Amino acid sequence: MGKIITWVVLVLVVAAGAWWYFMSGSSAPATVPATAPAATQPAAQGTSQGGVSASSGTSDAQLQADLNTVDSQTQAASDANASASSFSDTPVQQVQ
Amino acid sequence: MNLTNKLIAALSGSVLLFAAVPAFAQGVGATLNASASGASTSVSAHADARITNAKNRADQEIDRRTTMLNDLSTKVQAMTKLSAQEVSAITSAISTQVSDLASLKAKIDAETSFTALRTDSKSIVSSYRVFILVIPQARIEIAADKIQTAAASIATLAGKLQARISDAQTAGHNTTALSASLTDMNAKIADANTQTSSAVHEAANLTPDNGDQAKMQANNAAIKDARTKLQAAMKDVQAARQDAHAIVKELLSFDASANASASSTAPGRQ
Repeated sequence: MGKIITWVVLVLVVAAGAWWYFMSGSSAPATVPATAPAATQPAAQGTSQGGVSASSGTSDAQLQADLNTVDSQTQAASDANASASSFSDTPVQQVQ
Repeated sequence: MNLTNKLIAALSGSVLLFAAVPAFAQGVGATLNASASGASTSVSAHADARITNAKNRADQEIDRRTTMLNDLSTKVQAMTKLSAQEVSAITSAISTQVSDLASLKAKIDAETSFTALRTDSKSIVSSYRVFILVIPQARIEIAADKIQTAAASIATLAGKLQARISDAQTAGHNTTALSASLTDMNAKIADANTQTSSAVHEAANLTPDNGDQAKMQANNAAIKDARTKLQAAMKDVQAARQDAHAIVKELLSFDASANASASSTAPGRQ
């Protein structure tokens, strides 16, 4: 019985350590290798909140950023559409 | 003497018996009274429990609806593409529902009779018809707004892609496929906007059926049709998004080949 408890505690400690390791790794800034000179790839603008801006340029990086914004907004639209398409509701039954 | 003693004994016994009967009767009466009082208390406790139970159920349902309506109201306020009139109409409908529910809850909490509570409970059930119309209406409008937001971004991106395709054509690249994709993209965006506008128009004009079965069926059919239009709009947006990805990928490949060509022909690099 004592051995079982020891093993359970050991597994929990290892799982907690693994969880901490992955969580701390995911929150750290990712190192992205540069694929193009900074001079030819200006900083991309635009976020999913603000939408694609016509004045933000047409550089490769900006087009990629715009695509990311479109992806994000399309996903939000898909979620909202799923919510609108299915409305199942169960009211609390009242005393009659 | 013997006879005298017997008489005395008989009289004493009679006196004792008649003295004891009222006491016995009094005891029985007290027991019955106590029993009746206990039953009355039990009935009263049972009625209180029923009232408390009915109030709890009513409050749960009201709270559940209020939470759902407030959540929807927050999303409605965040809409950016629908007209101010459409936003105002659905906001007003939601606010009215929340206000009515708050009044009903206050009334229920103040009730002291089960009969009155039963009437209030019927009111909760009948008001559910309004609730189950407002919720789909709001959700359809929120979804339409999100779809139009995505469509607007894709339309702006389409303008940029048109410029890049023109540049690529000037640079000598074959842009026939890209132009076709862009044309499809613009058509999908236009259709998405048409479908969502139609869905909003269809859902926004519905009114509660108030028990009218024909109206209820008409409302359900309209909601169903609006949802179908949203589905079509969503497919349009997804197709336009895929077109955009394909165009950008092709444009980037033009850049890559141009860079490779420039590198291979640069002086000093043999």
